[in-house]
Amino acid sequence: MSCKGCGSSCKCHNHLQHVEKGKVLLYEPVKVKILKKQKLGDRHTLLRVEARVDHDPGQFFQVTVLGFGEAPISIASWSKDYIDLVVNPVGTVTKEVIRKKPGDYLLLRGPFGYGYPMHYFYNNSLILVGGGCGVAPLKGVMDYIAKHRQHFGEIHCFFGYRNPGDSIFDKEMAKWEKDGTFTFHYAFSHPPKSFKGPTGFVTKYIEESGLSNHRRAVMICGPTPMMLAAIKSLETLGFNDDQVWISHERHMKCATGMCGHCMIEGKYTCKDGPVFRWDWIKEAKG
Amino acid sequence: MGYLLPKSKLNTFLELLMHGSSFIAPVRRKKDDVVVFEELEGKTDLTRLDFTTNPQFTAKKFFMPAYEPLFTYNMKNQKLTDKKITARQRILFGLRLCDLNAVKIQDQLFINPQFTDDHYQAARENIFLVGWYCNTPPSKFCFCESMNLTHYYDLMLRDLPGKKDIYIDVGSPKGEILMRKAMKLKLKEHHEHVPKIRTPKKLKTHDIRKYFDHPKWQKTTESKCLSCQRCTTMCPTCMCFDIYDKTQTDLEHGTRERTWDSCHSKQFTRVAGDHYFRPDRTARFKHRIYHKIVYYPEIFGQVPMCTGCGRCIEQCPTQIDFVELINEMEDGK
Ligand code: SF4
Ligand code: SF4
Ligand code: FES
Repeated sequence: MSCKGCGSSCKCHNHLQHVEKGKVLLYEPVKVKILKKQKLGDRHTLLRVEARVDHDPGQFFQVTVLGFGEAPISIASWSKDYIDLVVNPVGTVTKEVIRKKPGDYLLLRGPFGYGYPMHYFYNNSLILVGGGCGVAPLKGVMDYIAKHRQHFGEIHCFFGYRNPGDSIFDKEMAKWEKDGTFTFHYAFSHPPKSFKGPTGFVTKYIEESGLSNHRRAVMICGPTPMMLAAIKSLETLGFNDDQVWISHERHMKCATGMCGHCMIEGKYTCKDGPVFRWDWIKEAKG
Repeated sequence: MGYLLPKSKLNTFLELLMHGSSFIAPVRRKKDDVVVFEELEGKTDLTRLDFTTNPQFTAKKFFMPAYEPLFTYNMKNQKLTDKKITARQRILFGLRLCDLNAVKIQDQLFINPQFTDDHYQAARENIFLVGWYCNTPPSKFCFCESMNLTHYYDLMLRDLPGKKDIYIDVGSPKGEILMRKAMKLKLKEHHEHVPKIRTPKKLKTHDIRKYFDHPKWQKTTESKCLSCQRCTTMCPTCMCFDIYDKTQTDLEHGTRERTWDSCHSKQFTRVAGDHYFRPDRTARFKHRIYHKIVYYPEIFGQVPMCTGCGRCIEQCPTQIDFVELINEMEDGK
C-alpha cells in the first residue's frame, strides 16, 4: 500500500493519516467507521473499525474523543480490512469511546510504535504470556500466526485473568484450541468460590510446563508486576533475556517521540516501543 | 564568508533587517527590569536593546508558544473545524550561541525523517536566526565551553574587541538572503574565524551513567527541589509538551491545545490506575539531567541536549547547581 501523501512507500509513512486522506497534519485524527461493537467478558469492549492500513501486531492507535482527549489503544487484530480495538474503560477517554455505536465514526491517529517483529520469529516455537487486557495485543499476534501457521512451530499460550468474567475472545480461543492452532493454559487468580478451573498465577503454569528455551521466543504483555514475575519464571526454565519480548505501558500524548512523556531512560515507548526485547530495556531505571 | 559593519552603522543595519518582518530582540522590560526577547514595535525601540546579560526567558516561545492551538473542533458532530497553521516571518536577533544550539536541538527533535511536527516546522521555516557573539560570557553560570557547541545560525554578529567594526558571519543560505536586505550599505566582505567561547564554569564530565546511583543525587535534590518547574520553563531545550482538549461552556466548540509541560511534575508520568513512574523528586530531577547529558546524545549523536546557558542554575529558587553536583561526584567528594 503506497502512501498518497508524498508518494513514498516507506514504512514510516504507512499511517492512516497518509493512506486514507493524503497529507494530514501530524496531530490531526482521521475519521473511521465503526463496523461492529461487542462486549468481551464483563469488562472489555471490542470496537471493529474500517481502516485499511498496514500494521504489525503490538502497535497502537491514538483514539480521540473530541472534548475528552486522546488515549492509546492497542490493536487486537491482524487483517487487511479492519482494525479491532479492545477498550478497557478505565479513563475518561476510554469510558467515552465505548458509548459509540456501530455506524458511528471514531477519530484515530496511527498506527504508531514498534510492534512484535513477526518475521524475526519465523521457524521458531513461541510462548505467549498475557495478563488481563494484555491479552488484547497478543490476539493480534495470534491472528497473524493463524494466517501464517506453517512458519511457526508449536505455540503455547499462558493467559492469566483475575476472574473468569475478565477473559476475552473466548469464542476465538476455543475454536483455535479445538483445531490445535494453539495450546492454551489459563490461570485465574481471584476466581469466585464456586469456580472449578485452574487457579493461581500464570507463573505457576509456566514453570510446570517445563518448556525448554531451544528455538523458542516469548512474547509477554500485561501489567508490569506480572511481566516481571513471568520473566523470572522463564529464567528458571533457562530462557535468556534476548528471547523475551515485552510490551510496555506509559503515559502518552504525541505518540511521535516529541512530547517526552513516554520516555524510559533514553527510549521512547511510543516510537521505539511499546514492544521491546527484554535485554534492551532491562537495565532501564525510570 | 562574512562582512564588516562599522559599529556606528549597527542601528541602520538593524532597521534595514526589520523592514517587512517581525523583529524580535533582547530588550530590558520596564515593569520588572528583566531582559527578555520581545517583538520591537518600530525603529525607536532599538534604543531599548540590551546586551549586558543573556535574556532571562529563552526564545523558544517563538517556535512553540506556551499555549498553541492544534485545531478547533465541534463536539456535537465530532468534526474538526479549523486546522489552519499561521506563521509569520520573524527575525530573531541577539540569540547567543547557546540559544542558537538549542534551536538545532529542537530541529532534530521536531523535524526528523519519521515524523515532522507541522506546527513547529511552519514556525521554524519562517524564522531567521541572527546571533550575537559573547566576547565575554554574560553570566557567571555559563558553562557552554564544555557543551560542544557548533555554529548554527543564519547570521552571527561579533563586536570585534578593540576595533571599530562588527564582523557579520554568514552561516547559511538563509543568512545570505537576509544580507540582501542590507545591500545598500555596501558592506566590505571579510573573513575571519569565530573563536570558541571560554566560560568561567565547566562541566567536568559527560560520562555520568556511572553516577546514577550516587547518594549525592538523593541528598541534594530530595530535600531541595521544590518541583516548581522553573528550570524547565527557562531552559531553551526543554520542549516537552502536553496535549489536551479545551471545550467552551456551550459544550460544543473547543480547541485541542498543546502547552509546555515539565518532567519535574509528578503528573508527567501518570498512567491509568494512578500509577506514577517517577514518583519522587530525585527521580524526576535525575531524569532531566540524564536526558540532557546522557540519553539525548545516545539517540541523536554526540551533542548533549544542554547547551550550557546556565539559566536553570541561575533561576532555581533553591540554587540547585547540577554542574557543581556532577563535578563533585567526578572529584570523588
Ligand atoms: S528550578 Fe530548582 S527547585 Fe524548581 S524544579 Fe528546577 S531544580 Fe527543582
Ligand atoms: S539544562 Fe540548564 S544550562 Fe542546560 S540548556 Fe537547559 S537551562 Fe541551560
Ligand atoms: S508519547 Fe510523546 S514522546 Fe512518546
